[in-house]
Amino acid sequence: MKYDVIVIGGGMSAIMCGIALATNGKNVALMVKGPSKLNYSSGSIDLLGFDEQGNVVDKPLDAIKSLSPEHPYSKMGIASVTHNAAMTPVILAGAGLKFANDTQLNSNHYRMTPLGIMRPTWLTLDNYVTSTSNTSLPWDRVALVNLQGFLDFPSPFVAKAITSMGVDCQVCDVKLGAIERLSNNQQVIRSTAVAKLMQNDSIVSEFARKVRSQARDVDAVIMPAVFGLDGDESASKIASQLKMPVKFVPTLPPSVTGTHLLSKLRKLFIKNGGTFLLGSMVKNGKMKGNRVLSIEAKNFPDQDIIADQFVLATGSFINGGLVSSNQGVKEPIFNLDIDYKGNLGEWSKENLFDAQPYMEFGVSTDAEFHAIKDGQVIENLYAIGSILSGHNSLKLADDTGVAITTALQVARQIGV
Amino acid sequence: MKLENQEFDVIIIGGGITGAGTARDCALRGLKVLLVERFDIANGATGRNHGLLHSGARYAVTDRESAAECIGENLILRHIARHCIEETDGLFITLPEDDLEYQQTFVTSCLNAGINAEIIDPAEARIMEPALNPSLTGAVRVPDASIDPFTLTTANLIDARRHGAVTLTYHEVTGLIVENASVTGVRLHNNLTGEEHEVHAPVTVNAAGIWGTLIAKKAGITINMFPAKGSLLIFGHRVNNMVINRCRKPANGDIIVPDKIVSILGTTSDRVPIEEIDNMRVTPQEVEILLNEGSKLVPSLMTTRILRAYAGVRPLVASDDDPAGRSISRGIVCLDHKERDGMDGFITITGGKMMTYRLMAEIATDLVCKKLDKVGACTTAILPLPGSEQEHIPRKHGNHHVITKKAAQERHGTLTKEIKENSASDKTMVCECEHVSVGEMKFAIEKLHVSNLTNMRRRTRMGMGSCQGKLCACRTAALLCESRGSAKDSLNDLASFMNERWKGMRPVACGPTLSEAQLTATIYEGLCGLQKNNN
Repeated sequence: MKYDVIVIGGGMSAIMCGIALATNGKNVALMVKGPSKLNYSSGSIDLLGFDEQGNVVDKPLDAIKSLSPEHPYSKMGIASVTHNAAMTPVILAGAGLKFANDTQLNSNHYRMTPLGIMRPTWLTLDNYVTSTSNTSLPWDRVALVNLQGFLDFPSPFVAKAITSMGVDCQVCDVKLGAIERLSNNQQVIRSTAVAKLMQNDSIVSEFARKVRSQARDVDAVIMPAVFGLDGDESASKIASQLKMPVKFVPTLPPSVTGTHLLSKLRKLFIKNGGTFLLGSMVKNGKMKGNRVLSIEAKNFPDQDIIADQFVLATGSFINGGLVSSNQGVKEPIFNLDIDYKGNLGEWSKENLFDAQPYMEFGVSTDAEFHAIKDGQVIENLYAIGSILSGHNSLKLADDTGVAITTALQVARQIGV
Repeated sequence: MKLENQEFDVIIIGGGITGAGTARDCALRGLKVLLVERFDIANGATGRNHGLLHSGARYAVTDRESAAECIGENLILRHIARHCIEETDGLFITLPEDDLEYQQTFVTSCLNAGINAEIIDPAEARIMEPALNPSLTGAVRVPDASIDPFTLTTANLIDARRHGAVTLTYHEVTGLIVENASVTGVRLHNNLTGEEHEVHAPVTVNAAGIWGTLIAKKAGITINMFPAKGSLLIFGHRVNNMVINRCRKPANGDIIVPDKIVSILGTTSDRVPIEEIDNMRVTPQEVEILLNEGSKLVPSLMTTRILRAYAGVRPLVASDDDPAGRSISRGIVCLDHKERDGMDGFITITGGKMMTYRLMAEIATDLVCKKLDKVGACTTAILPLPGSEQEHIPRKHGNHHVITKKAAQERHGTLTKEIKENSASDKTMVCECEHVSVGEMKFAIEKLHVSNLTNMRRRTRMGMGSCQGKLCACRTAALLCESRGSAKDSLNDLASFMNERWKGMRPVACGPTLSEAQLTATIYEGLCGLQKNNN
């Protein structure tokens, strides 16, 4: 097997890098192990929500100047971040994904989280609840849908949050026979199970009828984001049957929105000639001098998978891009150099919500995101996305932004 | 009725198993009881031990008195608290580096204390318990078992309330009211609302475990306690089916107890300063010691995910200068402060261990009755606890939701019939590790004094399984948010619950446990926007 470029990973950074490379005419393969952090997607893309002091950022492209030199944005430089940020909605639109606010690239807004908390973000899918302020919503009166038995949309929190922002919130309790059957089966009812039901026309109609009978004279109907396993079909069906504006709030994981994003992006990637190899667990890489020659994957036994360039987008600890033990932190495929400090007791802080040092651990790279092994820059191996060191994506709310901008940056470097 | 206007015969300080047991015994003997606890039930050593129903074998060689008490209570609890117990039996294992001759001393001591100890062939032991180190050289079978401290405490309190007791959680004793060399009541501070109360009773029982020394100080009385910290590790699944002990003098990391869906390894024993007892932390060194010792008994522990580490403080009463507290008696200490210190109306019940709580309660209640000139026979050794009234807990057939029902029956015994599942959504599962349904949570909110997530965890085991509350904590928070409280309070409760889970994960936060911690943070802080303080 031989490709121009192999991207290892299947999350936001891997797929965006793959799309950019394939669009440039590269023969590119994505080696995808399994689910990615898109499972926890909010439906928004965060560029920079907070500065390093924890203040909310209004103009993300301006605030990037203030970041420490280790931050991937600082490595890339403001001009490149701005360029890659501008490319982002264009590529997403090409995949058929419409985001609100996509003409105001230097402006943040707030998204509503599953707990009703308003969190700053950069781009949000255009039918999701957003606001320019964290204390108000753009409606006077809304209906909030609570699907009985579906606990992964904690509607009491959302209802109280909406009310506290001065909006009249009418809770519509909707009981669906299909969900009751799952409840009777003593299952935990997950968002994906509900989304699957919503692919059924008669269930959508029953749902719409029950919402319509309760929601009167409202400016919008707010409901859990359990539509989109089938592309845009069920979401547009519910909107047309309700004849009222429909706005979504993300649920607890698994994120149906994330599945929706991935499937649209994957379609675009494949349309542009990319190869998507799902179930590919990359075990190791063969090196010669400062170059990677090939990699080996579990599902292609005894085959050297060869490419000119390799991109590592395997994520942080959650997805196994980094592994830890009481001996230290490792990158398991190439055994790359890792930026981390101290011993076990120093990796974390006492309060879960403190800035945890381990969040900033990641592979060492040069300014062009070449990976480093034994102190040597590897010419044809790049690292992108959550595996990068030097920033705390939870504190800065910059996770998807770093994923996408580093992906596009590396794709451009490979392209020339 | 206002607390101040109520009349009580006895005030019991402490919502651990000793206090709960004493409240039940006093109430069964017809006394008007008030129990006060500064936080939630089972917050101290009761909720921070192995959950081991000792046969007494562990103490047979070194502490004959404790051993005899243990086996006596073991047999009683198997009857009165059967719904809290899983009859696993236990093994005492000799390893190649241990002296096999000790086994004979051990068995003889057990038999002398009345403990049925039976030497079995090591090969047979491996068939009974495949998790064992295959190189074992000896095995003894004893009647150890696994017991759930939370349901045991809950059941005692339920019965106390059924017999008229008033039980107040989150009520902290800020002072003892002393008149004419007699304790006549307590001053209370409500830790939830900030209200202050004064309550009077002719007798006050100090059953506050290690904190008892601080309570006694409020009456100017010194009790020289020996705070012995014991650290434990919880593993991500049930590795063993029998209790596994090391056949040697008690030392670090030599007991592994199966507890429902997990296994618990412990303990260490180190004296800690009394100032630190509210803030126990497990150190990396303790984790290493436990893992090294525990994996000698069960090698697979080395490669099993550690869910969390926690530590309790044994309320031992100091008697000599033993630096580790291992040879201090685990025996029961009941102090009549009139005789000891000239302070009437005040009793301290301490020492002992969870295993002997009922006997401790009986001894304390006998003294309370004596002081009040009341006659009443103790019935707690005979009367089953609520939940254990029937020998075989009936399994309802034809239910679609058997898993949650079965799990609830293991937790609540015959009380399960009070769980109402009126609609399909009540049957929905909330916590998939411990199989807790919406209906069971509603029952806990209504009947078992649940007002926050930690209360719910202690009543239903929600969030105690391998995911450590990753999603179920949020689902439960929404249920609580719906039934009471503001969104802000519920969010802060959720944040503090997740933080408490993290506290136990942090000493072992590497490998899969670190990945889990990052995932939890990604969901709660990243996706949901939860912070330390939520406005």
